[in-house]
Amino acid sequence: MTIEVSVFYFAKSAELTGLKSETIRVASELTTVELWQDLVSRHPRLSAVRDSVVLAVRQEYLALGDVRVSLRDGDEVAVIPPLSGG
Amino acid sequence: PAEIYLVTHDNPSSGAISIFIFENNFEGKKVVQLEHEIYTDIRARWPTVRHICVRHRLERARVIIGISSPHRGNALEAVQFCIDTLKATVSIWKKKVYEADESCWKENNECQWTGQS
Repeated sequence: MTIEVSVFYFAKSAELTGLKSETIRVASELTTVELWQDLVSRHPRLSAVRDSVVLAVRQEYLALGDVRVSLRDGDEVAVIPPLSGG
Repeated sequence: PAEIYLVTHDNPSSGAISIFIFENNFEGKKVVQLEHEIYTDIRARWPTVRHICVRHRLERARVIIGISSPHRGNALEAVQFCIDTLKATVSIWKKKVYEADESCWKENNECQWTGQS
């Protein structure tokens, strides 16, 4: 089953994709690394930051790996490069 | 700001007020979940801490952390915890722009997914 989610790109990832956000259709059940690979397939230049990003799914940080997520229509996903607040 | 006033003037039992202020210039995006989560963690570890204020202002590019407690040890430790946690978890990005078109995104060492290089 596929659903539509919003993807937000920040900092370096926004520069690599040329986007601040987009809406994509993905499987509702997948791992974080599969979700990442989907984003890379749309924006190959994202692969440059593979080792220094996490994803945020519904505002929760998740590492790229075998972490399973259940996505619903309208969920927010974000690519989170290393933080520099403070 | 009103919150710092609360820290300094509403605490007859507080012997110590620890205030940490630093400034930077940056541009970035902000997702605000910090204040609620920080408050819960600090009260759990330092029960004597009374008031907590954390402001990360984008327009003035300044972080102010104010914590009061009966004795300075807890206030200082809680401030340290605040800034460490802020640097490790808050979704803010800072980019430095140099001459000759060079620029780079700063990466906090406290952030667990900062790349090795």
